[in-house]
Amino acid sequence: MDIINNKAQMRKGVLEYCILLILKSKDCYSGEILNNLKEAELLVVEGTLYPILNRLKNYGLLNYHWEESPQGPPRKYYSITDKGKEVLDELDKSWIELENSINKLKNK
Amino acid sequence: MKKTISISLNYQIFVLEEDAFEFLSLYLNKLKEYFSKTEEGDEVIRDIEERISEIFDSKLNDLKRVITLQDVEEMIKILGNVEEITGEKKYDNNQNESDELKNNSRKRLYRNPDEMMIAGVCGGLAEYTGISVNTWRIIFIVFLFFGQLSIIIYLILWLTIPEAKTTAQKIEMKGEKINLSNIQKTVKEEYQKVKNNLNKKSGFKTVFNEFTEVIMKVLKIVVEVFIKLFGLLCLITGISLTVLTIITFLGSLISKINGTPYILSNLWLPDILNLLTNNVNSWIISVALFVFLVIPVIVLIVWGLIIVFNIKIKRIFSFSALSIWIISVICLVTFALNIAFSFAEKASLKKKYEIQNDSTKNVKFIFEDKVSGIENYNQKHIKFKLFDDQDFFVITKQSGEKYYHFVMSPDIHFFQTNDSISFVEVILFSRGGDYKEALENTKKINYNISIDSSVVRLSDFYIAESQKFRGQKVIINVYIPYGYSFTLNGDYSTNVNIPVENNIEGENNLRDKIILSTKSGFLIKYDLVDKF
Repeated sequence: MDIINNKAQMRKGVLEYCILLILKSKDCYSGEILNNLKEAELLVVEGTLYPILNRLKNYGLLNYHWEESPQGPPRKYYSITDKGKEVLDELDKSWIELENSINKLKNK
Repeated sequence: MKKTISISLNYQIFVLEEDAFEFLSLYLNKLKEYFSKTEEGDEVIRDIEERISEIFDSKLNDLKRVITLQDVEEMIKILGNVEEITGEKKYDNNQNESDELKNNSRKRLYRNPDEMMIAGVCGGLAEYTGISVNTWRIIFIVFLFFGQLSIIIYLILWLTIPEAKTTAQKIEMKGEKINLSNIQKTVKEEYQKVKNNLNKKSGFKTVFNEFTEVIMKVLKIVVEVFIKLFGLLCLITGISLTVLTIITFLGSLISKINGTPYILSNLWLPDILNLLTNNVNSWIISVALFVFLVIPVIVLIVWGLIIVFNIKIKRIFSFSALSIWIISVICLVTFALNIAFSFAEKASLKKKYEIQNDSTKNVKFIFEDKVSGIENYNQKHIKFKLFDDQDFFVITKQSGEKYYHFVMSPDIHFFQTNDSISFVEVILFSRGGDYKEALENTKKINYNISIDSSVVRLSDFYIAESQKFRGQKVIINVYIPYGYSFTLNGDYSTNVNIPVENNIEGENNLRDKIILSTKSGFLIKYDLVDKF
């Protein structure tokens, strides 16, 4: 059994939840999202972000708009949609439920 | 020093070193391959490229203005390799992880395009077996001497083993596990190989090529020498023929003009042809014949000059020479056909002459050395034999003028007859375009036979300029009754046919002999003295 792979899978699982969390407070471009994730030690490689962002956008949970940037070409700024907010609430609930379940098992 | 390639990423221009470019292309292509299958995968790619451009930007500064392979590698470390981004382990051969171990030791036999002299068969075998390429080549060549099986086996291998075209196949050929790092390594290796090949060629191939080059050079030289010799031959032949012709022609011309009895002056063609056809035609045909013979000789000389001295000839000359030659051929052919038509029909006239008997019952045949109708024949003439003994071509000179006559001797046949009188049949024969013409021609034959008591005088006859040669013949059938005899006197030619039964010494000696017409055929009367 590949432990590292398992960890990566777990992280990957919550990544979508994390992205929605980050975007809840403010609109960010991909670089900012990455920084946040790195600070939270959730990201190993950056490349995994982009497919997920795309997927969330396709589900209608995210939106983006272009903004001029001081250092060159315009950037995509991502924002969470109403639908996204709804899903985020759901995910918050699921996370608490999950935490509870695991704590129960750990305390046994 | 390295070559650089400019790319655009996210609307920014970046200059990459060659190997960095190759590597980045490979990376992006793999990603594109995966994301093209997902919805709006292009956008993901664009986002990734945007991030890559940001990372590249951070690597550049005033002192470093190009992206190196190391930069690309570091970028991939940050962004993640293809497996990590796509979440798929795409580059193992099997989906099953337990087969990974198997993969490690498994090599596949491919034809090797990097070690290819003919089809890469030996190269592929080398990778698979570990025995070097050149050894395999030597093996195949050695077995070639033992029969054609070697070739057949090689062909079978060529057709059945696939070529390792893609990078993945090449790695399989070498027997390593395929993943991105391997591909990176292989790409780098191939890169180096290509660069090295530009500088030197692989040893075996060069030796083979040089060998063939030398052989080709030698062959070339040999061929060139032969061509030059041929040219020289053409030149010599052409020139000698020309010289010969000129001498002949001039000699003929000169003697015709001043009338010297030079044998070749008799060969003035137009005059000869005059006996066959009319004056205009004979000149035309003479010229045509001249052209027909001369132009090939000229061509021969010109070829010789071109080959030996590299002289150039303008197209127009060769073209006009050819046309003139063709015209001459046409003239000659038309003329020949024309003449053939004039010989199409034949006609003959027969006249019978009786010979008076005398008590001797002997007929004397005297062959006179003269031609019917030509006066002073013996005195001023030049005579030579053109064909066989019987036909003379005679130029008769009379009071300064010259006549061409085609002189012929009659065919004479002796027969026995039941009649009591000996007689002679003179048959005149000629040809013509139609029967009427043939008959006219026959009538024009001037043959005189003189019979005086029992002496018959025979002579030759001729075709004059006013007539034309149309295959005229004079046939004389002589009929000698049984119990009679005859003698032949004078100079007679070989076309006298006498079926003598006892001719011991050959026909020529019938002259002055007495020939008896008996019940058992013609017999020479031999005196006892003659036999010894």
